[in-house]
Amino acid sequence: MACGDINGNGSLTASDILMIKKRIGSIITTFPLGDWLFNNQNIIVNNENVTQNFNGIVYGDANASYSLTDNNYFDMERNKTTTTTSLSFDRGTFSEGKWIIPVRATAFSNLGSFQFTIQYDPSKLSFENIIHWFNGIEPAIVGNTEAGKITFVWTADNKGINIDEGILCNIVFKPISSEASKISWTNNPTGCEFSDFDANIFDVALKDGVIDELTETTVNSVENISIYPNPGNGIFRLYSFNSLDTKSCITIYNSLGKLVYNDNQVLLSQNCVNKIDLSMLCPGVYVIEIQTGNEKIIKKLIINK
Amino acid sequence: MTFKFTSDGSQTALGWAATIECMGGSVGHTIGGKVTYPNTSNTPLSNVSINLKNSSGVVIGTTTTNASGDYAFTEVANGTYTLEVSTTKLWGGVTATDALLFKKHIANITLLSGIIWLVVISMEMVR
Repeated sequence: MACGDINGNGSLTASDILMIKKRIGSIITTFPLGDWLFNNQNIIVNNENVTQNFNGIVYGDANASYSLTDNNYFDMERNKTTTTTSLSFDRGTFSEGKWIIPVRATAFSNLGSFQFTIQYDPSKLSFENIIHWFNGIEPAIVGNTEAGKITFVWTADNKGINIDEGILCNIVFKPISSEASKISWTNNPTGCEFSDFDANIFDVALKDGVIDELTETTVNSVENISIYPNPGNGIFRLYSFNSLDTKSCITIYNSLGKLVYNDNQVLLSQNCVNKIDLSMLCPGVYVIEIQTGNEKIIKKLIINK
Repeated sequence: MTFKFTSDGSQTALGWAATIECMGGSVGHTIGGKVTYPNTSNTPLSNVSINLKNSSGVVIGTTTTNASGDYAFTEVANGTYTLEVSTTKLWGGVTATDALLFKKHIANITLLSGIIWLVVISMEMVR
């Protein structure tokens, strides 16, 4: 008997893990065999008293961290990392009638698993989907069974992922109202927990964010291309919210107007992240021009090392 | 409790007393023990229900564990029984870290042992 054998087929399999993740993300609310596993026994009474002890464990609790006092989890069985990590929301980009909100992650070394819930105002925003996961994170399980809450659950495959400073993912919302609203972290229904690949728990500082009011200026400043992280250490990622048929020309100038980078064969397609390596350049302010057909986008690029 | 009287057929004279002895063979026995969570502290599970079923599967007794996780059925006659434990305590304590540990076990990266397996505890007979 194993508490990970959720479907009771006699062994631990990937489908058991899928069910555990869905339960954590509140996508399912029950398990087929119930919530608790006890080692029930047959006993024989034969002219003597019998002592029979039992163990009981909740299904899925590999580290036996169930709390008997608050029916939640506690830290008794778990190690904590000493690293202080953080999660925050970058200011969103409004594009093609949708808000794109980047979730910024800092100082996650050897990331092995995470779960969390993000809360938004469902009277002002409608959740669409998650795009542009940090390289190696996809697929994560995302649930939106309750209006105003998005749950996330992910586990690494064969190694941890390092995110020194980067965008974990981007949340896409469709505005229902033009009013500003808050986006925040909550422990309900899925508590926030990040662990490294060795199952040590990160101490995560969570910072809430805001989604700007939609003004005429916001709506008109349509940006189809996003660059992150900016400022960054020289490795930039560029993604397009649309698929462009023609190749784009990317030109980068330094603050003196000198050409430092040029690539005229960049194909920007939706959900495809293009990497630009400018790590050989000195820290400073640069200008990036992205020309596609007759359209040109000019942006400031900052290298911090 | 049952008292059994036996006689060798002889009769006592008036004024003599007969000795009455309680025979142990027909007195029921106690089934008892403790229910714990398999963490390192073996935390007792209180208020857990236990059904005692006879060999036909009929529930012949029900009890709950006390604050120390202890339970007992008294005066149980000789026979074969099943003890069935259950609780309505809420599900919890499971996080993505648990899913990671199971995943590493399946992928043969780091094998889990001990607590995830509920090993059948060997039956201990005590007087």
